[in-house]
Amino acid sequence: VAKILVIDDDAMVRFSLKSVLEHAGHEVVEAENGVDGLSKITGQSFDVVVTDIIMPEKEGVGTIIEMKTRFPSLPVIAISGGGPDGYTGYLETARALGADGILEKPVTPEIRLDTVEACLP
Amino acid sequence: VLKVVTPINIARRHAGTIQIEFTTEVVDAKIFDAVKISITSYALLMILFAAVMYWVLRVIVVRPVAALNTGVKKVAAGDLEHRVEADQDDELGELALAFNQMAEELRKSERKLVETNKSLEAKVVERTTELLAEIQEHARVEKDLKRHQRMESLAGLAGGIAHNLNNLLQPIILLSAVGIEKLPKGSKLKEDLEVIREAGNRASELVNRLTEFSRENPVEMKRENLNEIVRESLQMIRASFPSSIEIKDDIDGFEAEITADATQLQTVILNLASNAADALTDMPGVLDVSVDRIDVTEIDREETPELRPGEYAKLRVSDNGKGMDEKTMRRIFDPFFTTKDVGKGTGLGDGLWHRHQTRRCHSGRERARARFDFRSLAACCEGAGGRQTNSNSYGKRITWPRSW
Repeated sequence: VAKILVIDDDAMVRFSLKSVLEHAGHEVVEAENGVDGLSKITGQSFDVVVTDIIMPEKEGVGTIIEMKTRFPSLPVIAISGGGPDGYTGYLETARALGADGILEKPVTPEIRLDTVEACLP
Repeated sequence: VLKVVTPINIARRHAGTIQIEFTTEVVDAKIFDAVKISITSYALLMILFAAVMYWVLRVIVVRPVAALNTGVKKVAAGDLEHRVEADQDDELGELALAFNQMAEELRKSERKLVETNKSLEAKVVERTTELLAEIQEHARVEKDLKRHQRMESLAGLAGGIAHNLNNLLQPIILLSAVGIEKLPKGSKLKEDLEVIREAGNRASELVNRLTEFSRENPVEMKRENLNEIVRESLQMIRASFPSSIEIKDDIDGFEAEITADATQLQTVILNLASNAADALTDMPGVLDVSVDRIDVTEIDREETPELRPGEYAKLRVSDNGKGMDEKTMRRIFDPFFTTKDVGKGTGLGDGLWHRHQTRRCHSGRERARARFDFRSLAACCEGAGGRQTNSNSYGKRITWPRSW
């Protein structure tokens, strides 16, 4: 059982990720954006973080950089369905800047679990 | 009366006087006659002299001057070939000679003028033709550019739509999966959720196509042997095609060295073949693949303005299916157009979408490739649909890629 932080501005996405992860036996905490996520990560200990890229307040790439600076050993997985402008290179950027895994939306339960659980200790 | 009186002296003595008297009447008459004759003769002589002078003047002066006058009028009227006689050895002769020289110079000048005019007209025609060609070329480039811009904005739009759809699909795909795992086997709700999951997966495939379209696929342009690419494609086609379809090829008649991205080209061939296979599912069909050489002339350009005159390699993938109708034909370059249901293999739009991608990536390189003998590839697609029926409905040849 792992404790996972899910950061996504879309409540339906958060809910579905939470649902599938909890079904796999994990504990899930939700955050609406990068600021929210970073504040939650400061007070609690997590095994893995799953973060969206395009978000208001604080987007995912900046969030990953800050998380990796503050918690270098914490695995971070970036998820994205592409940018609203059609740009699809965010995930590669996230990987280059420290993300341990990347997933394209919509993620399937199998890949989702494989990627997240591969990051667990 | 004339009177002569003379004394007569004999022995110095005056002997008398002789007086002779003459009447002058006769003499006067004779003198009058003589004078009359003289005057008449003189008058006649003068008349004769005047006549001779008139004739002489007419011949020497009047006639040449009249000829000059006529000559001047004719030259003034444009008859520059006109010349006057100039055989007199005097001032008028010299004048005639000068006139003739002037006329000759005028004639030469006019001829030169006419030639210059003709040359100018020819240059104007030549330059006009060049300008028209340049205008047409410009219009073509502008059209390509606009199309490119449209596709770019469409790509951006597609990416934006994909982003939103991916978020919406996420709960459908994940929650249906969770529900399916939670529910017992045989549950009606589980079956319903399986349908939802399948629908979500199909929608996801569609979104993937949208996303792929918005991505710039890297293209590697190299000198390639078209025959070799087609040969390799045919191996794959033969391995995957049902035995009910006969595969004919005619690719060894002409070695085509082209500049292309082999992978993209192979994808196009495979997609066209795949479309053909789908068109021939319910019948014993024939797939025909050929590589030929074609010469595009200026005249052909009216039909295929996108191709510059020159030698081209023509790749043709055709089948004996039912063919395409006009409506389908018009839309085959639309990136998302397909005649097939989602989930039923590669659609027509998908195959031709690759054509579009390839074409898009290859555009603008035509000039750089002009140095090659076979700088272009024109794939003559007489149908991802067939050629033996409805030939009129798709009689217009489609060449691809447009700007190779």
